[in-house]
Amino acid sequence: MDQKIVYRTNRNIVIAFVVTLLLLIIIVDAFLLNQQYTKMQVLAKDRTTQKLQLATNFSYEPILKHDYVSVKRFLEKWANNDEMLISLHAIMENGFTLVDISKDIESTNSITVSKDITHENKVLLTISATEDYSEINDSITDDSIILFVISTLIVSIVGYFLWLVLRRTAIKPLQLAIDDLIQSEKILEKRSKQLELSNQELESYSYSIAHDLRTPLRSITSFSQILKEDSSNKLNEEEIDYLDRIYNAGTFMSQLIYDILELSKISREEVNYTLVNLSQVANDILLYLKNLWPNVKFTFEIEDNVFVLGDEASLRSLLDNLISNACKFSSKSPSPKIEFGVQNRSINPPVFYVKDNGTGFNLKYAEKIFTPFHRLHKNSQYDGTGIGLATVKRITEKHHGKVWVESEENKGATFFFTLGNQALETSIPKKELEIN
Amino acid sequence: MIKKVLSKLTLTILCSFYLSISHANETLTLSIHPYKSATILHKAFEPLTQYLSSVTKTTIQLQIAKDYQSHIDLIGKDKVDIAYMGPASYVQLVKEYGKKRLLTRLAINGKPTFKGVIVVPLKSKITTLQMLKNTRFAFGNAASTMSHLVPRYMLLKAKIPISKLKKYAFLGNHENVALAVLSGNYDAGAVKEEIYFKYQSQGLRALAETPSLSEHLFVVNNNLHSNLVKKLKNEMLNLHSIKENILILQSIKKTASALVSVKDSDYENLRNILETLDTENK
Repeated sequence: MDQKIVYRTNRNIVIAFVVTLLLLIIIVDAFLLNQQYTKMQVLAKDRTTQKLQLATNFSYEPILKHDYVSVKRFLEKWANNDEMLISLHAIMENGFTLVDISKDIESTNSITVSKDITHENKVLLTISATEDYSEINDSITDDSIILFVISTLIVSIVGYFLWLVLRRTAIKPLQLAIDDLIQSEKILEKRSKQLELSNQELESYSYSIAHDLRTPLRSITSFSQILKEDSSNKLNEEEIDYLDRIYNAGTFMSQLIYDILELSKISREEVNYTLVNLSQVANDILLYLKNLWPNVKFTFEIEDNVFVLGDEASLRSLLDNLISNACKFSSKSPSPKIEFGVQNRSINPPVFYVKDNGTGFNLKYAEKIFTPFHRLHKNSQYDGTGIGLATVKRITEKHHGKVWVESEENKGATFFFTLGNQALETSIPKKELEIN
Repeated sequence: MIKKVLSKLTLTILCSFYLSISHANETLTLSIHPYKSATILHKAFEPLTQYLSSVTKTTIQLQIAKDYQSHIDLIGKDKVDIAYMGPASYVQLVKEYGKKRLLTRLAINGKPTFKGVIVVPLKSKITTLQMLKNTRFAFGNAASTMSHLVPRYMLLKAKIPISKLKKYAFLGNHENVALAVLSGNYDAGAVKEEIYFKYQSQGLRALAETPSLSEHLFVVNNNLHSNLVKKLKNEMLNLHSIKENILILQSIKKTASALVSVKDSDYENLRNILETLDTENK
């Protein structure tokens, strides 16, 4: 198969080379033939002009003496004896045609020359001679055939030798390089497949571990809670504190496992494209988020009619993570404000944003926050697992988009994201929706 | 008596024999006036001389005269035996040397006479001879009957002597006259009828026709034996009766059809014309 590709490539190089050479030769041949044709035409015209000059020289004296018969006879004799002469006309000053000879000769190339016989600035007679130079065309045709044959021969010989040289100096090493490249590609492809398989195995392994961990964890938290409730009067404060710590650690671990499972799920599952009303999703999320901070008075600004094509469950998770973060990190602000919308509807891909006026962070950590388990705050300050933004990043990537952040410490943060190329729809009836 | 009769008979037979011998050994000269080059004239008259030589059993030699006057003098002084001459030359000959014996004259297309035409361009405003006054007029040869002498006589009759012409020139031949008129270099010109017909379609118009004149003729000198003259005359008159002999005539002139009888009075009208011109010149 690879040999065939190399063979085809080499063959195409040779064909391209020969065609180029042939075109070049044709252009050069055409130029040479044109030059030759022009030269022959000029010589032919000179020849006819010289003949006409002789005729006018002879006719000058007789015309002055009104010996028209001599002129007529001379011109007629010329016409009869000169096989190349197609037509000869001698016109007098008043337009009278003294000689009017037209031979029945078919010509593919004729040259006409006219000359006046003048005396004291007065035109006495104008002689026009047309001669047949079809031989020039015939000669050029013959030359072109010979030239074409010679040129083709030269092209063939030169092409053959150049091909030999090319094959030895360039094509053979090139062929070896191509072989190496193809070999490398094959290895790379094999390794890539192995890697993909490993990843799948790893994800599946993580999923299994996480899933299996939930049951014993649930037992730990449940039994620690039951122990606390049933034996609270038998335990001292320190022992109750230990039980609370066990319960809190278990709950955190349970949340962590849930988040890991979510991240894993997003990575594994295919994107199921539908038309999603992000404005509606954001409003839904706000409804339950408000309940988590009952004592905080948030201000929400949600842009209406933000419709996109995407996986609804994933996009819900994306907005949930971003808006939850926004609420969390602005909950301690005096007048927390959360915004969601589209930066500019006319650009493609459209850029969406979730903005808050919370604590913000130093931008030097901007890249780190999207990696799993990486957190900028302690759990005592703001709880969390460090999986949320990694999930957001994974969702945007699955939609062929990206996510980035702009922030300043104590001045809030704005998360921007795109979801691949798409004309931003404001309102599309769901019935008309077509998903590819 | 018998002796006398025998001697007379013998003498007659001897005389006849002598005469026939003398004719057979005689060399005759046929002189031609130089109206074309010597080579062309030799070629043209060679068939006729050969024919006449064979039928008369004499040797006839061709001689091309140096000029028209020499030609007249040669025949006038009987220095040549036969002369082929134009009508004007013949009138001049008679005037200078008296009448000569005539053989035949040429018939062109069956006619022993010919005419000339005074021509103008087709679109010319000239409609009468009188209107030729103060115009440019082209003649052929000064010695030519139809391209000079007769037209000049006609102009004279129309009260236009050549001094009343604006310009005139002798262009050498009839064709040059026709072409000079066609090319607009001359307002009118004189040509023989044959040339007029040739160029009529190219834009020539006949303004006037000349009177009919007798054609070219053969004249013999006074010394030539009458029997031989008679023989020559008969052979010439019968020449066209044999189909092949027409070529002999056509060699002289393409349109020649026969040699016909001629008499001095045939040239009377020309004689009058020339006399009138002589008077004018005096």
